[in-house]
Amino acid sequence: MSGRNQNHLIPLSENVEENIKRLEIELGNSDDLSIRRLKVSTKNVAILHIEGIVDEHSINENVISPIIQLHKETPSFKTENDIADKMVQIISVPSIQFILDWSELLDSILAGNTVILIEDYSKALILGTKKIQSRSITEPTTQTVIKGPKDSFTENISTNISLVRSRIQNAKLRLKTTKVGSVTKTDVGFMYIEGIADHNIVMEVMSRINKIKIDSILEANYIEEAIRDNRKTLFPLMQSSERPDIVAANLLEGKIAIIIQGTPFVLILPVLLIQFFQSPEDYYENNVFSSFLRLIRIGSFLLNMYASAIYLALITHHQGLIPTTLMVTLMAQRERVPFPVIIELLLMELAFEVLREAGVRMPRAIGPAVSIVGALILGQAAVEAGFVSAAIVIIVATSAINSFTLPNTNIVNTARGLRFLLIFSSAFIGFYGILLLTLCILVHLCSLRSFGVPYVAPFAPFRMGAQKDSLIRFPITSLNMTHSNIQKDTKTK
Amino acid sequence: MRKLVTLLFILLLIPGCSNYRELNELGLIIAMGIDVSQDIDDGYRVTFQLINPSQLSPTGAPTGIPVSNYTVEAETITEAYRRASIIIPRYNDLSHLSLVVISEELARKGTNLVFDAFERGKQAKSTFPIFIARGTSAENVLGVVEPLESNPTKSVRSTSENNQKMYGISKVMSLHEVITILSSEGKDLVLPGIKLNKNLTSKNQTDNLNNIKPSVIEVSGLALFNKDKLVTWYDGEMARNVHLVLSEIDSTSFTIPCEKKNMTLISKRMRGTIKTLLKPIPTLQVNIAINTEISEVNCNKDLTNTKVLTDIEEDLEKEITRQVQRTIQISQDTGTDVFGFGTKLSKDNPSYWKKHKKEWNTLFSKAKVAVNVKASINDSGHVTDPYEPN
Repeated sequence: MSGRNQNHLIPLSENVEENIKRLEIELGNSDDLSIRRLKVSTKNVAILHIEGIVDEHSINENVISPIIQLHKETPSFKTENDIADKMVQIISVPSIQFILDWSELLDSILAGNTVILIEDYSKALILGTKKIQSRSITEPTTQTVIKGPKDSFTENISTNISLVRSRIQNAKLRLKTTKVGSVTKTDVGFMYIEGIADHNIVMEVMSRINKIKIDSILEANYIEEAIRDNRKTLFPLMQSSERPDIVAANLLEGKIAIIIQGTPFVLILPVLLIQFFQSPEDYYENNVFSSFLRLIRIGSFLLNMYASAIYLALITHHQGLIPTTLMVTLMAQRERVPFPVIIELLLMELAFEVLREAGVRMPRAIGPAVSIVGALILGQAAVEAGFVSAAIVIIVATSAINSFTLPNTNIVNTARGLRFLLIFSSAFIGFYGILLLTLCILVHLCSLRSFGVPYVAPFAPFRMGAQKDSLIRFPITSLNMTHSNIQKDTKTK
Repeated sequence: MRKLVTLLFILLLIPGCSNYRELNELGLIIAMGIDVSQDIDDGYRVTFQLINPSQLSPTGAPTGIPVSNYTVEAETITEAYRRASIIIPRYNDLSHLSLVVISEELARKGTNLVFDAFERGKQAKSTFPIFIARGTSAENVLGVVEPLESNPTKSVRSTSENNQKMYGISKVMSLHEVITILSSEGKDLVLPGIKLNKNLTSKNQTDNLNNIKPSVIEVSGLALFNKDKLVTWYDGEMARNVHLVLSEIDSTSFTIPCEKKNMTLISKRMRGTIKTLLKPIPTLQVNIAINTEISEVNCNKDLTNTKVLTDIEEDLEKEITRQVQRTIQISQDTGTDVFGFGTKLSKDNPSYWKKHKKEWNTLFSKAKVAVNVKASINDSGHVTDPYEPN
C-alpha cells in the first residue's frame, strides 16, 4: 500500500530545479508548498515541505541551521554522496530515509515529511518532521463515567496510540500501520497483543483491511462497514469507543483495536452482544453494585425495545390481561383521543426521534429551549388538548429514558430500529406477533458472527467459565481476565 | 432464508383473525344481573352493567353516574348478550366481568345450566363471584349508586369481602367453585345473598349520592341450595357458623351473656373439621378449635382469676355448640348437605358411599350430630378488669 505506482518506478531527476518544477505541477502550484533553496559547497540543495502539517520549528532548528552551518564550515565536498552522508550526520530529526521513486516522494511530502533534494544526486532525503495539528486530550463526551479515567482519544492517531501504549507497557503489544483510501490515504493503525489475540482473527482482519477499496476514510464507520461480517444486520458487529481504558481492557482480553487518523473513535473487534451492556465503570466500582447496574442496563434495553409494543398489544388485543381498575383509567384517558392508538403511538415515537435529532443538531446555546418546547409544551399540551393520551406519553418517555442507560450508543440505534418493527407486529397480531418477531431476532442473533466469534457467546454456545463476567461481574480477583470469550469458530468464516 | 419466510408465513396464518380493538370502541361489561323473563317462557331477563369510563377519569371530578345498565330479554344468556347490541352502542367486552347477580326468583326456580354460557365462552374469566339478589331482582340490586362506592359492582364485591373479613356471613364464591360444587357428589351449594337496605327514595338515582342515609347494598345471609334450587336462607350467626365449620372464615366475634349483660369475644384463629362415623349409628361429627380474645365486657368480672376465665371459655363453648347444632339441624331438615359430609364420607369410606349415595339425603337428615368445641382465651386486651364507675 505504499503508492499507486509501486510496480513502475519513476526515477527522480538529478536536476533540483526540474524536480521542484515537477512537484509544483503535480501539486497544482499549491501555495502551501514551501521551498527553501540553499547551497552546500557548490551544489544546489532544496528543502521542501508542505506548511501546516510539519513541525516548522524543528525544520528551522534541526535541518536548515545545521545545513547553513555545514556550508560555512566545509566549503568543498568530493561527491554528492559525501554531502548526503554528512547531512545525515548533522540533521537531527527522528527519522531519515533515502528514496529513489518519484511517487514515493509525493506521498511522503503529502504525509508531512520534509524532502531534501541535492543537485546531481539521484536520491531524495525524507525527514520525519510530521506534526499534525490536533486538539488536546479532553474528557470523553459520549462515554462518561463517574469514577475512572477521564482522558479520551483525539483525532490524532499518534496521540491515540500513545494513550493505549501508556496503559499497556508490554513488548507483546503490536502495532501495524497502513494507509487506506485511494484519495485520502488515511493512516490506519492496528493494535493487538501477541499471544493473547487469536492469530487467525488478526490475519483475517489484516487481509480484510488490505482489501478495502474505497476513496476515502473519514471516520471509523467507513472501515466498520467495509469489513464487517454481515452487512444486512441491525446489530453492531464492532464496538467503537473513545475511551483508551476500554480499548486497553479489550486488547487485554484478546481483541483487536483499529485506530484511524482523523477520528477519536477506535474500533474494537471481535465483539459480543453482552459487551454493549458493560461499562468500564463496572470494573471501577464494587462488583455487587456494578452487577446490579449491569442487570438494570439489560432490563432497560429490553424495556426500550418492548415497552411500546407491549402496551399496544395489551390495549388493542389483550384487554382481559389488564387489571380492571387500570383498564378503566386507560379507557377514561382514551375516551376523547381522535386517533387509533397505533397512530398515536407512532406519532409520539416519531416526535421523540425528531426531538432527539434536534437535540444533537442544534447549537448548544438553545439546548434548554428545545427541551422546554419538546417536553413541557408539546407533551403536556398534547395531552391536555386530548390529541394523545397521557399513558402514551408515559410509555414513550419511559422507553426513551431507558435507552440512555446504555454505555454504548451503537446498540441503542439497534433497539430503535427493532422497536418500530415490534410496534408494527404488535399492532397486527398482538403478543403473538411480538413473540414471533422476538423468535426471529433470537434466531438472527444466534446466526451472527463477529470475525468468526459467535455473537451471543457466552450464552450460545454456553460457556460456564465466562458467566463470571457476563450478566453479573464476579470480584476481579476471581475473574480470569483473558480471552475466554473469544473462541475460534472456523466453520463460519 | 426461503425456509424462514415460509415458516413465518405459516405462523402468521395460525392465529386466524386479528382481534384489534380500540379502547374507545369498547363497552366494558363489569356486571351481569340475571332475572326470570316476564314475557318469554324459560327465558332470562339479563341486565348488563357497562362502565362509563369518562366518569371514572383520574383527573377532573365526575359529573354523573359511572355505569349504565342495559336490560334485554332472551331465551339464553348468549342470545341476550348478542341481542344487547340493539341498545349497547359499543362492542361488548366480557373479559372484565367481575360480578354476576342472580335473582332469588330464578334461584328458587332452579339455576339449571345458566352458568354454562360463562364456562363455555372464551371471553369471560371464570373467577368472578356469584351472588343471589335476596327478595328483589338482580336488576334492582345493580341499579343503585352509593356515595362511598359509586360503582355498584365494586360496592357489592367490597361490601361482601369486607364482611367476610370482619364477621363471616358472606363468602365470595367464584364461578368455577360454584360449578365444582354443583357437579360434585355429597356437597350442596351455598351462595351469599345481597339486597338493598332500603328502596330508593327518589326516582333520580344521583339523589342517592347526595343522601346522608343512602340506599346501599347489604350483605344478607346465605342461600342454601338443594341441587340447583334455592330452598332456604341462613341468616346472621347461622350463616357465619357454616363458614366456621368449613374453616372458611378470617375473623369473627361471639357475644355471650354475662351476669344479665353481655360480653364479646373476637377470634382471628379458628379451625373447624368434620368427620363422619358410621358405628354404632351414622354420626356427623364437627370439631371446632377456637382462639379468642376478650374485646368487650359489660359486666363486672375478675378477669385476673383463671377460674373465671375457664368459666367464660365453657360458656363460649356451650354457646357455639348450641349455635352450630341449630345450623346443622336446619341443613338436615331441608336435606341440603352444605358442609360436605357426603364428600368427606366418600373419601373416608368409599365402599359404603358407593352403596348408599342414592339415599344419602335421607341418611344425612336422620344422622346424629356431635359438636365438639374447644375454645380458649388468649388475651384480654389492654386491660384486665373493666373499670368501675364510682
